[in-house]
Amino acid sequence: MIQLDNISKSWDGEKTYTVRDVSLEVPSGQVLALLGGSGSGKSTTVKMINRLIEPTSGQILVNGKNVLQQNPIQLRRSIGYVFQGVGLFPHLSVADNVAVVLKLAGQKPEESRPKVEQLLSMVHLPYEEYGERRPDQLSGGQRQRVGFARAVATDPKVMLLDEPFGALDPVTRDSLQQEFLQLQKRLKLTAVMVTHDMAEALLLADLIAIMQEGKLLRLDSPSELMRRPGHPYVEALIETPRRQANQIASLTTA
Amino acid sequence: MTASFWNNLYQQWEVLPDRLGGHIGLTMTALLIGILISLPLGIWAARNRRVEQIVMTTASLIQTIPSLALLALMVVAWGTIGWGPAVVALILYSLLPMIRNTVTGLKSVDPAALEAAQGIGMTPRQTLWMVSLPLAMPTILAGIRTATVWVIGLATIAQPVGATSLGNYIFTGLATGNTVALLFGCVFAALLALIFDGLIYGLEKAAENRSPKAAGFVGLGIALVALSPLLLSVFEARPTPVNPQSYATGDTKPSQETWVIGAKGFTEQFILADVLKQQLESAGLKTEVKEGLGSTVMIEALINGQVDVAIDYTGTVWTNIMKRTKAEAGPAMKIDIAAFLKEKYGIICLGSLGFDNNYAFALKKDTAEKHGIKNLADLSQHSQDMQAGTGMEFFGRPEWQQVRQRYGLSFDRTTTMDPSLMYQAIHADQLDLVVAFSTDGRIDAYDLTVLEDPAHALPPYEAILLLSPEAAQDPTLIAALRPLLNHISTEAMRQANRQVDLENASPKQAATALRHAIFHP
Repeated sequence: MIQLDNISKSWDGEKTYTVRDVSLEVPSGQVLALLGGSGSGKSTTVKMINRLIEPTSGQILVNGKNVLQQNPIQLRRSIGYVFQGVGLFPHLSVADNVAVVLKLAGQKPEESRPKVEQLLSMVHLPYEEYGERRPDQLSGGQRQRVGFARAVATDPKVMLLDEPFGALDPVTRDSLQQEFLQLQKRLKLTAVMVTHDMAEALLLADLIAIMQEGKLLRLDSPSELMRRPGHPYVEALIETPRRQANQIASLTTA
Repeated sequence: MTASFWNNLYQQWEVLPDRLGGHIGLTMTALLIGILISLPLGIWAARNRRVEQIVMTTASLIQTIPSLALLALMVVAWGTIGWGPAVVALILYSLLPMIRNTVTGLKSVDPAALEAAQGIGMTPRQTLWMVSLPLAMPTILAGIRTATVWVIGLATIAQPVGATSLGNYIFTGLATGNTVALLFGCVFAALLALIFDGLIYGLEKAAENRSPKAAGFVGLGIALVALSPLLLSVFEARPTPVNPQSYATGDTKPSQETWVIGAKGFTEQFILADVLKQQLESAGLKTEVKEGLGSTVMIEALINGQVDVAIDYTGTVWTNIMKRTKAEAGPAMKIDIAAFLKEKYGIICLGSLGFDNNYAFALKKDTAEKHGIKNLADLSQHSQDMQAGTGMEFFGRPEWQQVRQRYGLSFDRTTTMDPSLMYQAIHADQLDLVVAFSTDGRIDAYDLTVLEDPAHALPPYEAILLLSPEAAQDPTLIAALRPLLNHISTEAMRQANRQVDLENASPKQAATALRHAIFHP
């Protein structure tokens, strides 16, 4: 379970706020999508959970423990993290990119090898074929699969995703989204995912938090949001996928 | 001509392992230490703007000091000659490109990779070692490559402080007019630089392609080149000169000590160094020659025992070391000098070799006749219209001040150049007067008239044999050198100089001939 209580972040001595008084709760095993335009504070919010950014005020609990009282290095190692730009190390092989988090956890290369093989086959990149390749020899989708494998390598209970599908073509994005959902269900991950794509949030998340100018506008389930947007901005966000869905439906019925 | 060319080439080849080895040892040591300094400094500077400014400014400033001046500064700072100050100077020169590229490389690491490192829970130290440094490595290696090429080139100028390098070919080649030696030094220094440039470029590519195997091959190549002087010397299998007699008689125990013979940077000194070397080696002693030393550097080296045997000139010691201005008659002056050196520094003056090597103001014979110039006093009437040149540091020495004041001389222009060029210049009427050494065989060969010094403004320059305090304790050494005393005439010395400067003989050949003339007249 992830719980944020009145989290704020100000970079200028509390004159202005990037994030202001955000409180939310993600029950265990569920996916929360943090949705908003650029500058809405969604990325800042997710980075405060693993303390890549320190909150100015408020408290964050992960599985009941206050993250501000933990060693930030250990905290980050216990939380899976998937990056916007994939974030693989260009100088390491695919296998080493996954193994590096096991190495940080103190495992020797020969100990981590079976786990790396298992993780790579889980994301459909068999070790024999892909293990020795380097990131620049993979497609964008394959790279992000390696990113997933790395994020779950240490069996974390919690996972943070910062626009994980942003740079992918639509077909790859769709299949990777499905793979992510399967992975998340199988490993019972509690996840927070940053996205600016309402359709993605509606399809993947159990809960959607909509942010605007640092404030939390709505927090609800996808179906509830669709029924009662409750705010013109939310309405506008929902409008696009709804209209597209209708147009596509009308094409098939016509 | 052809025979002497091949002979000359072979002689250069013979000393290659020593000089190449010296060169590689010098550059590799300087580079290794330079890397050990540059990398941490670069890492620090990449994280701290203030440190970056200070470090980069200092390194750039060092770079602006002329290399020879930096080398001289190191000798002064360390109070010692040879390998040490040369290595330190080269280290200082290597810093700038290596620090600059380390900073640039680290600063241009993709921020996404750094965020990823932080996000998966790397400590700053782990981020540095596992992400930043590997990603910056190609740039850092490019800096090391630049530094390597610089240092290999610069190591050639280490000779004047007594460190052996390929520069010995260049300096002695210049001083004795030996083009083969000169080219030999240049070609091998350039080759060495090219080879290392290529090898480190290979290392750079290996780092870019993250190929440890390729890096291993390149590393092997670098090790091979670094060890090449050893391989060369194995193939040559040079016999070590040992005189079996001295062992057989058993009366003199061969000393294990290597005696260092010091020599300044001109032909006569090269020849005499070889004469001393042959004398000592025929007595079963081990020797090493340090050539191209400056006058003061050589005396200092004698004082602290870095040089054991050397030939100097009374006038030089008198004016430069004892700072005396008024010359005395020969014998009295020599006694004063011997007493001074012994009391002040413990240096022993074993005696005179038998010839003087004075400063000689020389004009073309027809110029002298045309103006009726016979001595320095006559010269004062014409000097203001004359261009004067010299092959050594004469115009910066106290002797010149004395001559100038005594005779009221002032030249239109004075220049210092390579001695062989100086003779060509007066021959082509680009100079009107040269200041040379009286034992220089080229004075006769170029048909020059030497002017007399009626007021004795210049002190005499008798060649004297000096020993370090330690060398003065060894009876074998003294016994080996004694036969040389008073046995080298001015004519014999001039003859030997002429062989090298005009007849393409090597200093070694001239030395052998000179010894033959001494012992089998």
